[in-house]
Amino acid sequence: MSISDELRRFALFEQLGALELQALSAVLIRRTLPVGALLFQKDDPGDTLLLIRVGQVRIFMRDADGNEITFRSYSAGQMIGEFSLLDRRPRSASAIVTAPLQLFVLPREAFLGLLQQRPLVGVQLMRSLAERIRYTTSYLERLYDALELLSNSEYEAAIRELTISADDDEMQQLISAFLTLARRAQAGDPQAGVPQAGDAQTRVTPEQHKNKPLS
Amino acid sequence: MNTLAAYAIALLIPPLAFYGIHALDLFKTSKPQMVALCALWGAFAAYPLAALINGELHSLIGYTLVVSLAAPVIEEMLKALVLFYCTRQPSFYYFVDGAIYGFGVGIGFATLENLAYVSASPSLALAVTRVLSTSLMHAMTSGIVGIGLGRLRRARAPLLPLLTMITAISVHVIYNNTVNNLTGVSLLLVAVGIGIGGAALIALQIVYGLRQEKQRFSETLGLANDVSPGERQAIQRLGGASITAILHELRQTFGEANVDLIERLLVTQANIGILENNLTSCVVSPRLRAAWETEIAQRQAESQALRHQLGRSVLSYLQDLFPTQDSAMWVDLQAQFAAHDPTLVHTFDMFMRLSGLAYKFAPEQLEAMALRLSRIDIFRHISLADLENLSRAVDVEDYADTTLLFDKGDDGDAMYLIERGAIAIYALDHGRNERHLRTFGVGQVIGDFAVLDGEHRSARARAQGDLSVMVLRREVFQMFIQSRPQVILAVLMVLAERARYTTGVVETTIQNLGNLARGDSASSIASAAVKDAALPVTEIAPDVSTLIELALVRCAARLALRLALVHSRDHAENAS
Repeated sequence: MSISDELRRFALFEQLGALELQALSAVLIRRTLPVGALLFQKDDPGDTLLLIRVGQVRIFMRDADGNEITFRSYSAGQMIGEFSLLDRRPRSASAIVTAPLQLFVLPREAFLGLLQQRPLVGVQLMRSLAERIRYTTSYLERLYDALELLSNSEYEAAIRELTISADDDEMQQLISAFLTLARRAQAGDPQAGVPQAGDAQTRVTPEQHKNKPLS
Repeated sequence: MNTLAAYAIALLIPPLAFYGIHALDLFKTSKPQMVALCALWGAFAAYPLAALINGELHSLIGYTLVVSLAAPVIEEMLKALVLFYCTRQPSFYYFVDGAIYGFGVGIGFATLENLAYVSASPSLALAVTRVLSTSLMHAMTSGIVGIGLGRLRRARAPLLPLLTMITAISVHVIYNNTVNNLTGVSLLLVAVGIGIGGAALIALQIVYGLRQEKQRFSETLGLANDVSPGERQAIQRLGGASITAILHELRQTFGEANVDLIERLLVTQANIGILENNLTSCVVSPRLRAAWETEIAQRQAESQALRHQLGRSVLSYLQDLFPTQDSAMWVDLQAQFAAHDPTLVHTFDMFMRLSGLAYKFAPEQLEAMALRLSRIDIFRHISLADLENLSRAVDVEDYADTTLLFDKGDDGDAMYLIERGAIAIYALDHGRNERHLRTFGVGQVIGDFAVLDGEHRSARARAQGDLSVMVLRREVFQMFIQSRPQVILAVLMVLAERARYTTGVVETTIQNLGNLARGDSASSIASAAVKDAALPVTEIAPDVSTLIELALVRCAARLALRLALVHSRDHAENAS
């Protein structure tokens, strides 16, 4: 597979033309890391975008007691640090290699140069960030509605509101956290009926609930 | 001693000649190794072969006939063989390089011939004049042949190489027939005459060749059959893709690396032209003028740097093809670049001027609008000058109460900034009945993300009261940003902050939901949320994270007791 084809696998770059991809691949740095290597640590300066070609990375933080909390894993075709690249904030969590890793690294300086030369790269990035914000916000809005229902003791309606599947790990975690809360609250309410097993089977695709009002 | 001096001069000629070629800055397109190959061929292949054949012919047709006729024909043919090879190489682009390679083979040939002559020379003076004139003659004749072969590569002129070959042989014949009867000054005069005549012939070919090239470029640009392009016509031709053809042609001439530089130079020049048009024809605030002037200065510096990289021969060629004073051609070129890759040139500015939109608002109005746009979150890092430029494309529209602005499922083609009145947002239930969601008021913006991603509308929007809005269409916004990396970066920074923020909200919410479910941290959430609830959320509607946290607080307050009950029950079950 050519580098251009490989780069096109990353959602951020899938719409770039041949020239943009060529310009991009010219400024990327290649890196390899073994299992167990720390890719970065919390509070490291984060001004590079990391594109995973092969392998896997686990993102984690330590809680007050020093226990590792895993947020999520990234694997081939996924990116880390697209925010840091732009706002230069330090890393908010640490990353450790869990399967032999091959990376493309895009430093901020190189990205700025690329943006000058091929502004389309920036327009693409803009679209994908906007889409991501919309996506996350639509879940949060839905969660808000569900929480409102829950605080009115409308357990069934609340559970139905958020019984959906997300194609994103983090959203899936958010959904399960809410459902756990709602079922526990229902179990603690002497006036509420016991939840039916079938209730949680209603599936809604992310596309459908993306159409929730965005304000 | 004399002979030694003559040898020295004969041997000095090649390095001097190659230094001359190099100093003329012509190596930007011709390949030094090709020139070397030609010189070596001239010296060690063409010359020995010619000497061999000439020697054989002596016994057949006699000395005089060989010198006066056979030798010129044979020598020119042999020298030309390597030129034929060179000009057929895929790396051969620029026809003038043919002349350079010709000089190379001529000098190489002459050097060996001179060495042979000097070894048998009667006097130093004769040796020196012979050495000079022979070098000049061989270089010129092969130069003429070379340029003919070079032009054959680009033009449909199969007779051209034949013509140049006949010319070269004729010059050679004249030289051979006069040189042996002359000495001293007259010999030098003949040599100089041949030099000047040959140079003139080559120059003539270059001029003629360039004129042909220009003709071809004009045809490609469509100028030849439409010489008075009104600018509106130019923009109508935006769909054409002939810049691709032009760049392809240039690639044939100069090769990949040079064409990249040339493209950047042409783009830079096109943008300078667009910005200068802005300055002369648009009335804007001093701030925007200053911004345009600064950008022109920056781009001129870029253009200088590019010119420096390109080298003289390519530049003079370009100046001939794209003369700065040919404004019709430049307008067309700008339009072509806009069509080829709209991120390259300021298409927005061209569009503003050609559509007449540039004259819609007075400078003070634009400044005021820019100020209002700067308060929109996604625009907050964009400079006021850029926002003022963008304001030129803003529409101010009025709507009566209950007018539909957009419906659920419509393309997100514009954003609205409320100036007066309000906009109500409705969800649609299955029976398509409207359910009021919320209302936006003066200073608030709707659909700001639409200009970024064009997503479908997720709800219905209606005017409420007497509505006046500033409308920014996605199309013009995209046109504006695509040639302005600094604006793209400014928007990206806000988006990154926001994306990071919403991701953070999701993470803390997951934790808070977990805590709440365990029934043991209700109070800590409540305290955190109270802090957030105290934030001034007056003018701008509360954002989603504040809403979530408020909802969490309400849940915590109402559910705490029940969750604690479940928790203690679980605890008791585990203990038993």
